[in-house]
Amino acid sequence: MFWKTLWRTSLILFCALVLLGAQKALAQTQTIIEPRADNFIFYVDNSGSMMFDYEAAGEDKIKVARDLLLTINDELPELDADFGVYTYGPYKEYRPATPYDRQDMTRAFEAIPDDFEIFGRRTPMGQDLIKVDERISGLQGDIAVVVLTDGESNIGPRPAGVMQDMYQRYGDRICFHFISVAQTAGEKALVEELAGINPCTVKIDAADLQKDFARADFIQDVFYTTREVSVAPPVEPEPEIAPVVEPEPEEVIVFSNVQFDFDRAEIKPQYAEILREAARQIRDREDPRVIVEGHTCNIGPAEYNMGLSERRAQAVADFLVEQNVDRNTIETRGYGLTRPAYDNDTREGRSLNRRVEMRLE
Amino acid sequence: MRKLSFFPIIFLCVTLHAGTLAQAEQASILNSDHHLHGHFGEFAQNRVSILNKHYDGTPEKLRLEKNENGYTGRYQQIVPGSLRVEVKQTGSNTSPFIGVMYYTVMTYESNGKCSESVSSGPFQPVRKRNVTEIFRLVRGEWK
Repeated sequence: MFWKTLWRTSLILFCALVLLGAQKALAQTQTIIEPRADNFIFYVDNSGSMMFDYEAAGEDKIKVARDLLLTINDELPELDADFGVYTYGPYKEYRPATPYDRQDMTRAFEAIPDDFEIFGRRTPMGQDLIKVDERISGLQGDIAVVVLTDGESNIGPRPAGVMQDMYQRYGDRICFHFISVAQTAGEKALVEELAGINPCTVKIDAADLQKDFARADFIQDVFYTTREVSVAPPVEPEPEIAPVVEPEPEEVIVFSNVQFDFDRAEIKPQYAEILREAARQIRDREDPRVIVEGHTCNIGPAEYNMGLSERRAQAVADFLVEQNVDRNTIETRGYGLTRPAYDNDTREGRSLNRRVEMRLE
Repeated sequence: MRKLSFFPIIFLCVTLHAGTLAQAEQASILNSDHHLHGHFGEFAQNRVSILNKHYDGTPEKLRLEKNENGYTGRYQQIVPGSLRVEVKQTGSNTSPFIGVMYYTVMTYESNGKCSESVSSGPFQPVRKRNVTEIFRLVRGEWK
Protein backbone atom coordinates (compact mmCIF):
# COMPACT_ATOMS: atom_id res chain seq x y z
CA MET A 1 0.00 0.00 0.00
CA PHE A 2 2.79 2.33 1.01
CA TRP A 3 4.77 1.64 -2.14
CA LYS A 4 1.68 2.13 -4.26
CA THR A 5 1.06 5.52 -2.67
CA LEU A 6 4.70 6.46 -3.05
CA TRP A 7 4.68 5.44 -6.69
CA ARG A 8 1.51 7.47 -7.38
CA THR A 9 2.86 10.51 -5.55
CA SER A 10 6.16 10.33 -7.40
CA LEU A 11 4.37 10.06 -10.72
CA ILE A 12 2.19 13.08 -9.97
CA LEU A 13 5.21 15.10 -8.85
CA PHE A 14 7.11 14.11 -11.96
CA CYS A 15 4.25 15.17 -14.23
CA ALA A 16 3.94 18.47 -12.39
CA LEU A 17 7.65 19.14 -12.84
CA VAL A 18 7.47 18.31 -16.54
CA LEU A 19 4.50 20.63 -16.99
CA LEU A 20 6.20 23.39 -15.06
CA GLY A 21 9.31 23.02 -17.18
CA ALA A 22 7.29 23.10 -20.35
CA GLN A 23 5.43 26.19 -19.22
CA LYS A 24 8.70 27.85 -18.33
CA ALA A 25 10.15 26.93 -21.70
CA LEU A 26 7.16 28.40 -23.46
CA ALA A 27 7.44 31.71 -21.58
CA GLN A 28 10.19 33.83 -23.03
CA THR A 29 12.63 35.09 -20.39
CA GLN A 30 15.88 36.94 -20.40
CA THR A 31 18.67 36.71 -17.79
CA ILE A 32 19.76 40.10 -16.54
CA ILE A 33 23.26 40.29 -15.00
CA GLU A 34 23.78 43.10 -12.54
CA PRO A 35 26.96 43.96 -10.64
CA ARG A 36 26.70 43.65 -6.89
CA ALA A 37 28.65 46.88 -6.48
CA ASP A 38 29.44 49.99 -8.47
CA ASN A 39 33.15 49.66 -7.80
CA PHE A 40 35.40 46.62 -7.34
CA ILE A 41 38.83 47.23 -5.84
CA PHE A 42 41.48 44.47 -5.80
CA TYR A 43 43.88 44.86 -2.90
CA VAL A 44 46.73 42.38 -3.45
CA ASP A 45 49.50 41.39 -1.04
CA ASN A 46 52.78 41.95 -2.84
CA SER A 47 54.98 41.69 0.23
CA GLY A 48 58.00 39.43 0.72
CA SER A 49 55.95 36.72 2.42
CA MET A 50 54.12 36.12 -0.82
CA MET A 51 57.26 34.66 -2.31
CA PHE A 52 56.91 31.65 -0.02
CA ASP A 53 55.43 28.47 -1.34
CA TYR A 54 51.72 27.90 -1.34
CA GLU A 55 51.86 24.25 -0.50
CA ALA A 56 48.47 23.37 -1.89
CA ALA A 57 49.61 24.45 -5.35
CA GLY A 58 53.31 23.85 -5.10
CA GLU A 59 54.00 27.34 -6.32
CA ASP A 60 54.93 30.71 -4.84
CA LYS A 61 51.93 32.36 -3.25
CA ILE A 62 52.27 35.42 -5.44
CA LYS A 63 52.21 33.31 -8.61
CA VAL A 64 49.13 31.45 -7.38
CA ALA A 65 47.53 34.76 -6.50
CA ARG A 66 48.27 36.32 -9.85
CA ASP A 67 47.07 33.29 -11.77
CA LEU A 68 43.85 33.23 -9.80
CA LEU A 69 43.26 36.93 -10.42
CA LEU A 70 43.85 36.48 -14.15
CA THR A 71 41.46 33.51 -14.20
CA ILE A 72 38.79 35.44 -12.33
CA ASN A 73 39.19 38.29 -14.79
CA ASP A 74 38.77 35.87 -17.71
CA GLU A 75 35.61 34.45 -16.23
CA LEU A 76 33.94 37.69 -15.21
CA PRO A 77 30.95 38.73 -17.28
CA GLU A 78 31.05 42.18 -18.77
CA LEU A 79 29.96 44.30 -15.85
CA ASP A 80 28.84 47.86 -15.81
CA ALA A 81 31.10 48.80 -12.90
CA ASP A 82 34.46 50.40 -12.18
CA PHE A 83 37.45 48.20 -11.36
CA GLY A 84 40.72 49.17 -9.66
CA VAL A 85 43.91 47.26 -8.80
CA TYR A 86 46.22 48.12 -5.90
CA THR A 87 48.98 46.31 -4.12
CA TYR A 88 50.38 46.62 -0.66
CA GLY A 89 53.93 45.94 0.54
CA PRO A 90 54.72 48.14 -1.43
CA TYR A 91 51.66 50.26 -2.10
CA LYS A 92 51.08 50.86 -5.81
CA GLU A 93 48.11 51.77 -7.94
CA TYR A 94 48.13 49.53 -11.02
CA ARG A 95 44.75 50.66 -12.16
CA PRO A 96 42.52 53.37 -10.73
CA ALA A 97 38.82 52.63 -10.42
CA THR A 98 37.65 52.98 -14.00
CA PRO A 99 35.07 51.19 -16.15
CA TYR A 100 35.70 47.50 -16.54
CA ASP A 101 37.90 46.54 -19.46
CA ARG A 102 39.01 42.95 -19.57
CA GLN A 103 42.22 43.61 -21.50
CA ASP A 104 43.18 46.49 -19.29
CA MET A 105 42.55 44.45 -16.16
CA THR A 106 44.74 41.66 -17.55
CA ARG A 107 47.56 44.14 -18.11
CA ALA A 108 47.17 45.47 -14.57
CA PHE A 109 47.36 42.00 -12.99
CA GLU A 110 50.27 40.96 -15.21
CA ALA A 111 52.14 44.07 -14.15
CA ILE A 112 52.17 42.97 -10.50
CA PRO A 113 55.65 41.59 -9.82
CA ASP A 114 55.80 37.87 -9.03
CA ASP A 115 59.49 37.56 -8.46
CA PHE A 116 61.15 39.75 -5.84
CA GLU A 117 63.26 39.75 -2.74
CA ILE A 118 61.61 38.40 0.36
CA PHE A 119 63.57 40.34 2.93
CA GLY A 120 62.94 44.04 3.36
CA ARG A 121 59.45 43.80 1.93
CA ARG A 122 57.31 44.16 5.01
CA THR A 123 53.52 43.71 5.00
CA PRO A 124 51.82 47.04 5.85
CA MET A 125 48.30 45.80 5.16
CA GLY A 126 46.57 48.40 7.34
CA GLN A 127 48.86 51.26 6.41
CA ASP A 128 48.52 50.80 2.68
CA LEU A 129 44.77 50.30 3.07
CA ILE A 130 44.64 53.86 4.38
CA LYS A 131 46.25 55.00 1.14
CA VAL A 132 43.68 53.01 -0.83
CA ASP A 133 40.96 54.58 1.29
CA GLU A 134 42.20 58.00 0.20
CA ARG A 135 41.89 56.92 -3.45
CA ILE A 136 38.45 55.40 -3.19
CA SER A 137 36.77 57.81 -0.81
CA GLY A 138 35.52 59.89 -3.75
CA LEU A 139 33.89 56.94 -5.53
CA GLN A 140 30.15 56.97 -5.98
CA GLY A 141 27.95 54.01 -5.13
CA ASP A 142 28.84 50.73 -3.45
CA ILE A 143 32.40 49.49 -3.13
CA ALA A 144 33.57 45.87 -2.91
CA VAL A 145 37.22 45.43 -1.87
CA VAL A 146 38.66 42.02 -2.81
CA VAL A 147 41.70 41.41 -0.60
CA LEU A 148 44.20 38.78 -1.65
CA THR A 149 46.22 38.04 1.48
CA ASP A 150 48.35 35.44 3.14
CA GLY A 151 47.15 36.63 6.53
CA GLU A 152 50.31 38.59 7.34
CA SER A 153 50.45 42.17 8.53
CA ASN A 154 53.60 43.07 10.35
CA ILE A 155 53.94 46.84 10.15
CA GLY A 156 51.72 49.85 10.58
CA PRO A 157 48.21 50.03 11.95
CA ARG A 158 46.19 46.87 12.43
CA PRO A 159 44.20 46.15 9.28
CA ALA A 160 41.16 45.18 11.35
CA GLY A 161 41.08 48.66 12.87
CA VAL A 162 41.41 50.32 9.50
CA MET A 163 38.64 48.18 8.07
CA GLN A 164 36.34 48.82 10.99
CA ASP A 165 36.94 52.51 10.58
CA MET A 166 36.13 52.25 6.89
CA TYR A 167 32.94 50.28 7.59
CA GLN A 168 31.93 53.00 9.97
CA ARG A 169 32.54 55.82 7.51
CA TYR A 170 31.21 54.14 4.39
CA GLY A 171 28.39 52.31 6.12
CA ASP A 172 26.58 49.77 3.93
CA ARG A 173 28.38 51.04 0.85
CA ILE A 174 31.55 49.01 1.45
CA CYS A 175 32.30 45.33 1.92
CA PHE A 176 35.61 43.49 2.14
CA HIS A 177 35.99 40.03 0.59
CA PHE A 178 38.98 37.74 1.00
CA ILE A 179 40.96 35.32 -1.13
CA SER A 180 43.29 33.62 1.30
CA VAL A 181 46.66 32.02 0.67
CA ALA A 182 47.14 31.79 4.44
CA GLN A 183 48.79 28.59 5.57
CA THR A 184 49.74 28.86 9.22
CA ALA A 185 47.25 29.00 12.07
CA GLY A 186 48.23 32.57 12.82
CA GLU A 187 47.77 33.64 9.21
CA LYS A 188 44.41 31.91 8.98
CA ALA A 189 43.31 33.49 12.24
CA LEU A 190 43.97 37.01 10.92
CA VAL A 191 41.98 36.28 7.79
CA GLU A 192 39.14 34.93 9.91
CA GLU A 193 39.24 38.03 12.09
CA LEU A 194 39.05 40.37 9.13
CA ALA A 195 36.33 38.30 7.43
CA GLY A 196 34.26 38.28 10.57
CA ILE A 197 33.97 42.04 10.86
CA ASN A 198 30.99 42.23 8.52
CA PRO A 199 28.52 39.51 7.54
CA CYS A 200 28.57 40.78 3.94
CA THR A 201 32.05 39.24 3.52
CA VAL A 202 32.72 36.32 1.20
CA LYS A 203 35.87 34.41 2.03
CA ILE A 204 37.52 31.60 0.10
CA ASP A 205 40.82 29.78 0.25
CA ALA A 206 42.95 29.90 -2.87
CA ALA A 207 43.03 26.11 -2.99
CA ASP A 208 39.24 26.03 -3.29
CA LEU A 209 39.25 28.91 -5.73
CA GLN A 210 41.27 26.81 -8.09
CA LYS A 211 38.27 24.51 -8.45
CA ASP A 212 35.97 25.56 -11.25
CA PHE A 213 32.62 25.24 -9.50
CA ALA A 214 33.87 26.97 -6.34
CA ARG A 215 35.36 29.75 -8.36
CA ALA A 216 32.10 30.21 -10.28
CA ASP A 217 30.21 30.48 -7.00
CA PHE A 218 32.73 32.93 -5.62
CA ILE A 219 32.59 35.10 -8.70
CA GLN A 220 28.82 35.20 -8.58
CA ASP A 221 28.73 35.76 -4.79
CA VAL A 222 31.14 38.69 -4.99
CA PHE A 223 30.73 40.30 -8.38
CA TYR A 224 27.25 39.90 -9.81
CA THR A 225 23.72 38.80 -9.36
CA THR A 226 21.22 37.55 -11.92
CA ARG A 227 17.49 37.84 -12.37
CA GLU A 228 15.07 36.49 -14.94
CA VAL A 229 12.71 38.87 -16.67
CA SER A 230 9.87 37.99 -18.95
CA VAL A 231 10.23 39.44 -22.37
CA ALA A 232 7.77 39.81 -25.15
CA PRO A 233 8.75 37.66 -28.09
CA PRO A 234 10.77 39.66 -30.54
CA VAL A 235 8.59 41.32 -33.07
CA GLU A 236 9.47 40.09 -36.51
CA PRO A 237 10.12 43.14 -38.56
CA GLU A 238 7.64 43.63 -41.30
CA PRO A 239 9.20 42.40 -44.46
CA GLU A 240 10.18 45.33 -46.64
CA ILE A 241 7.75 45.69 -49.48
CA ALA A 242 9.37 47.11 -52.49
CA PRO A 243 7.43 50.10 -53.70
CA VAL A 244 5.27 49.18 -56.69
CA VAL A 245 6.50 51.10 -59.67
CA GLU A 246 3.93 51.24 -62.41
CA PRO A 247 5.39 50.76 -65.85
CA GLU A 248 5.17 53.55 -68.38
CA PRO A 249 1.89 53.19 -70.31
CA GLU A 250 1.80 52.25 -73.95
CA GLU A 251 -0.88 53.80 -76.13
CA VAL A 252 -2.47 51.36 -78.58
CA ILE A 253 -5.51 51.16 -80.84
CA VAL A 254 -6.66 47.57 -81.25
CA PHE A 255 -8.83 46.19 -84.02
CA SER A 256 -10.12 42.69 -83.46
CA ASN A 257 -13.19 43.49 -85.47
CA VAL A 258 -11.63 44.49 -88.76
CA GLN A 259 -12.21 41.34 -90.68
CA PHE A 260 -10.51 40.35 -93.84
CA ASP A 261 -11.63 37.88 -96.40
CA PHE A 262 -9.86 34.57 -96.10
CA ASP A 263 -6.25 34.87 -97.18
CA ARG A 264 -6.87 38.47 -98.21
CA ALA A 265 -5.42 41.70 -96.90
CA GLU A 266 -7.72 44.32 -98.43
CA ILE A 267 -9.68 46.58 -96.11
CA LYS A 268 -13.41 46.09 -96.63
CA PRO A 269 -15.40 49.31 -97.09
CA GLN A 270 -17.58 48.73 -94.03
CA TYR A 271 -14.54 49.14 -91.80
CA ALA A 272 -13.50 52.45 -93.29
CA GLU A 273 -15.22 54.59 -90.64
CA ILE A 274 -13.56 52.89 -87.70
CA LEU A 275 -10.17 53.13 -89.37
CA ARG A 276 -10.87 56.78 -90.18
CA GLU A 277 -11.48 57.37 -86.49
CA ALA A 278 -8.12 55.75 -85.77
CA ALA A 279 -6.48 58.02 -88.34
CA ARG A 280 -8.15 61.05 -86.70
CA GLN A 281 -6.77 60.07 -83.31
CA ILE A 282 -3.29 59.61 -84.75
CA ARG A 283 -3.34 62.96 -86.53
CA ASP A 284 -4.56 64.67 -83.36
CA ARG A 285 -1.42 63.55 -81.53
CA GLU A 286 1.55 65.80 -81.49
CA ASP A 287 4.42 64.29 -83.46
CA PRO A 288 2.80 60.85 -83.90
CA ARG A 289 4.73 57.73 -84.67
CA VAL A 290 2.74 54.59 -85.39
CA ILE A 291 3.76 50.97 -85.47
CA VAL A 292 1.08 48.91 -87.18
CA GLU A 293 1.29 45.30 -86.04
CA GLY A 294 -0.53 42.35 -87.58
CA HIS A 295 -1.35 39.29 -85.48
CA THR A 296 -3.07 35.99 -86.08
CA CYS A 297 -4.38 33.06 -84.04
CA ASN A 298 -2.49 29.78 -83.93
CA ILE A 299 -4.39 27.98 -86.64
CA GLY A 300 -2.33 27.36 -89.74
CA PRO A 301 1.38 27.20 -90.40
CA ALA A 302 3.55 29.78 -88.62
CA GLU A 303 5.19 31.01 -91.80
CA TYR A 304 1.89 31.49 -93.55
CA ASN A 305 0.45 33.37 -90.58
CA MET A 306 3.55 35.56 -90.46
CA GLY A 307 3.13 36.58 -94.11
CA LEU A 308 -0.60 37.18 -93.73
CA SER A 309 -0.11 39.37 -90.66
CA GLU A 310 2.51 41.44 -92.48
CA ARG A 311 0.20 42.00 -95.43
CA ARG A 312 -2.70 43.03 -93.25
CA ALA A 313 -0.53 45.43 -91.28
CA GLN A 314 0.56 46.97 -94.57
CA ALA A 315 -3.05 47.28 -95.75
CA VAL A 316 -3.99 49.18 -92.62
CA ALA A 317 -0.89 51.37 -92.95
CA ASP A 318 -1.82 52.20 -96.56
CA PHE A 319 -5.29 53.19 -95.42
CA LEU A 320 -3.81 55.49 -92.79
CA VAL A 321 -1.70 57.17 -95.42
CA GLU A 322 -4.84 57.74 -97.50
CA GLN A 323 -6.26 59.41 -94.40
CA ASN A 324 -3.38 61.87 -94.41
CA VAL A 325 -1.24 60.21 -91.80
CA ASP A 326 2.36 60.93 -92.74
CA ARG A 327 3.81 57.77 -94.30
CA ASN A 328 7.18 58.55 -92.73
CA THR A 329 5.70 58.18 -89.29
CA ILE A 330 4.31 54.68 -89.97
CA GLU A 331 6.14 51.41 -89.48
CA THR A 332 4.60 47.97 -90.14
CA ARG A 333 5.38 44.63 -88.50
CA GLY A 334 3.88 41.18 -88.84
CA TYR A 335 4.02 38.91 -85.80
CA GLY A 336 1.90 36.05 -87.03
CA LEU A 337 0.97 33.70 -84.22
CA THR A 338 3.98 34.57 -82.08
CA ARG A 339 2.38 37.15 -79.82
CA PRO A 340 -1.03 35.99 -78.70
CA ALA A 341 -2.73 38.41 -76.32
CA TYR A 342 -5.67 36.06 -75.85
CA ASP A 343 -6.13 32.40 -75.09
CA ASN A 344 -5.79 30.36 -78.30
CA ASP A 345 -7.46 27.42 -76.56
CA THR A 346 -10.89 29.02 -76.99
CA ARG A 347 -12.76 30.07 -80.12
CA GLU A 348 -13.34 33.53 -78.72
CA GLY A 349 -9.68 33.83 -77.80
CA ARG A 350 -8.55 32.85 -81.29
CA SER A 351 -10.95 35.37 -82.78
CA LEU A 352 -9.53 38.09 -80.55
CA ASN A 353 -6.00 37.14 -81.51
CA ARG A 354 -6.75 37.81 -85.16
CA ARG A 355 -6.18 41.51 -84.73
CA VAL A 356 -4.29 44.58 -85.87
CA GLU A 357 -2.74 46.88 -83.32
CA MET A 358 -1.57 50.44 -83.86
CA ARG A 359 1.04 51.20 -81.24
CA LEU A 360 1.45 54.96 -80.80
CA GLU A 361 4.79 56.30 -79.72
CA MET B 1 -23.62 88.79 -123.63
CA ARG B 2 -22.19 89.63 -120.31
CA LYS B 3 -19.40 87.31 -119.28
CA LEU B 4 -20.25 85.47 -116.15
CA SER B 5 -17.66 85.82 -113.40
CA PHE B 6 -16.80 82.32 -112.50
CA PHE B 7 -14.51 83.14 -109.66
CA PRO B 8 -17.21 83.75 -107.05
CA ILE B 9 -19.02 80.59 -108.13
CA ILE B 10 -15.87 78.52 -107.98
CA PHE B 11 -15.05 80.09 -104.66
CA LEU B 12 -18.51 79.29 -103.31
CA CYS B 13 -18.37 75.70 -104.51
CA VAL B 14 -14.99 75.13 -102.98
CA THR B 15 -16.07 76.68 -99.69
CA LEU B 16 -19.20 74.55 -99.54
CA HIS B 17 -17.29 71.38 -100.41
CA ALA B 18 -14.65 72.17 -97.83
CA GLY B 19 -17.36 72.68 -95.28
CA THR B 20 -18.85 69.29 -96.08
CA LEU B 21 -15.45 67.66 -95.84
CA ALA B 22 -14.81 69.31 -92.52
CA GLN B 23 -18.11 68.05 -91.19
CA ALA B 24 -17.24 64.51 -92.28
CA GLU B 25 -13.78 64.85 -90.69
CA GLN B 26 -14.91 65.87 -87.22
CA ALA B 27 -17.36 63.02 -86.30
CA SER B 28 -19.21 64.76 -83.54
CA ILE B 29 -19.37 63.18 -80.11
CA LEU B 30 -22.86 62.48 -78.87
CA ASN B 31 -23.93 63.71 -75.47
CA SER B 32 -23.74 61.22 -72.67
CA ASP B 33 -27.51 61.32 -72.25
CA HIS B 34 -28.01 60.16 -75.82
CA HIS B 35 -29.57 56.71 -75.87
CA LEU B 36 -26.78 55.33 -78.00
CA HIS B 37 -24.26 56.36 -75.36
CA GLY B 38 -25.92 54.13 -72.82
CA HIS B 39 -26.34 51.43 -75.40
CA PHE B 40 -22.66 51.48 -76.27
CA GLY B 41 -21.75 51.69 -72.60
CA GLU B 42 -23.49 48.40 -71.94
CA PHE B 43 -21.77 46.84 -74.92
CA ALA B 44 -18.42 48.11 -73.66
CA GLN B 45 -18.98 46.71 -70.16
CA ASN B 46 -19.81 43.35 -71.64
CA ARG B 47 -16.75 43.49 -73.87
CA VAL B 48 -14.54 44.17 -70.85
CA SER B 49 -15.91 41.00 -69.23
CA ILE B 50 -15.22 38.98 -72.36
CA LEU B 51 -11.69 40.34 -72.72
CA ASN B 52 -10.88 39.69 -69.05
CA LYS B 53 -12.07 36.12 -69.48
CA HIS B 54 -10.05 35.42 -72.60
CA TYR B 55 -6.67 37.01 -71.99
CA ASP B 56 -3.71 34.72 -72.42
CA GLY B 57 -3.11 34.54 -68.68
CA THR B 58 -5.86 35.43 -66.23
CA PRO B 59 -5.83 35.45 -62.43
CA GLU B 60 -7.66 32.12 -62.58
CA LYS B 61 -5.43 30.58 -65.23
CA LEU B 62 -1.91 31.99 -65.14
CA ARG B 63 0.34 31.84 -68.14
CA LEU B 64 3.41 29.99 -66.83
CA GLU B 65 6.75 30.19 -68.55
CA LYS B 66 9.81 28.22 -67.57
CA ASN B 67 13.07 30.14 -67.62
CA GLU B 68 16.64 29.81 -66.34
CA ASN B 69 15.65 31.15 -62.94
CA GLY B 70 12.59 28.97 -62.50
CA TYR B 71 9.13 30.11 -63.55
CA THR B 72 7.33 33.30 -64.46
CA GLY B 73 3.61 33.54 -63.95
CA ARG B 74 1.73 36.21 -65.84
CA TYR B 75 -1.81 37.49 -66.17
CA GLN B 76 -3.57 40.45 -67.70
CA GLN B 77 -6.50 42.35 -66.40
CA ILE B 78 -8.39 45.47 -67.37
CA VAL B 79 -7.97 47.95 -64.57
CA PRO B 80 -11.34 48.30 -62.86
CA GLY B 81 -12.81 51.74 -63.33
CA SER B 82 -10.58 52.55 -66.29
CA LEU B 83 -13.32 52.14 -68.92
CA ARG B 84 -14.48 55.28 -70.70
CA VAL B 85 -16.77 55.44 -73.77
CA GLU B 86 -17.67 57.88 -76.51
CA VAL B 87 -20.23 57.57 -79.29
CA LYS B 88 -19.66 59.65 -82.37
CA GLN B 89 -21.82 60.53 -85.34
CA THR B 90 -19.70 60.15 -88.43
CA GLY B 91 -21.86 61.60 -91.16
CA SER B 92 -21.27 58.47 -93.16
CA ASN B 93 -24.12 56.49 -94.63
CA THR B 94 -22.44 53.13 -94.23
CA SER B 95 -21.48 53.66 -90.57
CA PRO B 96 -23.34 56.70 -89.21
CA PHE B 97 -22.30 55.98 -85.62
CA ILE B 98 -19.10 54.68 -84.12
CA GLY B 99 -18.41 53.82 -80.54
CA VAL B 100 -14.98 54.31 -79.01
CA MET B 101 -14.00 52.57 -75.80
CA TYR B 102 -10.90 53.44 -73.83
CA TYR B 103 -9.53 51.20 -71.06
CA THR B 104 -6.27 50.27 -69.40
CA VAL B 105 -4.85 46.74 -69.40
CA MET B 106 -2.25 45.85 -66.81
CA THR B 107 0.02 42.82 -67.09
CA TYR B 108 1.24 41.34 -63.80
CA GLU B 109 4.14 38.96 -63.28
CA SER B 110 5.43 36.81 -60.49
CA ASN B 111 8.70 34.89 -60.43
CA GLY B 112 9.64 31.83 -58.45
CA LYS B 113 11.57 28.59 -58.32
CA CYS B 114 8.54 26.43 -58.98
CA SER B 115 5.13 26.87 -60.51
CA GLU B 116 3.38 26.58 -57.15
CA SER B 117 5.34 29.40 -55.54
CA VAL B 118 4.83 31.56 -58.61
CA SER B 119 1.09 31.16 -58.32
CA SER B 120 1.09 32.55 -54.81
CA GLY B 121 2.80 35.75 -55.90
CA PRO B 122 3.56 38.48 -55.18
CA PHE B 123 2.69 39.88 -58.55
CA GLN B 124 4.18 43.09 -59.81
CA PRO B 125 2.82 45.19 -62.68
CA VAL B 126 5.17 44.90 -65.65
CA ARG B 127 3.19 46.37 -68.53
CA LYS B 128 0.51 49.00 -68.83
CA ARG B 129 -1.42 49.59 -72.03
CA ASN B 130 -3.96 52.33 -72.61
CA VAL B 131 -6.14 50.66 -75.23
CA THR B 132 -8.59 52.20 -77.67
CA GLU B 133 -11.11 50.05 -79.50
CA ILE B 134 -13.47 51.42 -82.13
CA PHE B 135 -16.77 49.82 -83.13
CA ARG B 136 -19.49 50.67 -85.64
CA LEU B 137 -23.21 50.40 -85.17
CA VAL B 138 -24.72 47.92 -87.62
CA ARG B 139 -28.46 47.31 -87.47
CA GLY B 140 -28.60 48.12 -83.79
CA GLU B 141 -25.54 46.08 -82.91
CA TRP B 142 -22.04 47.22 -82.17
CA LYS B 143 -19.48 45.41 -84.26
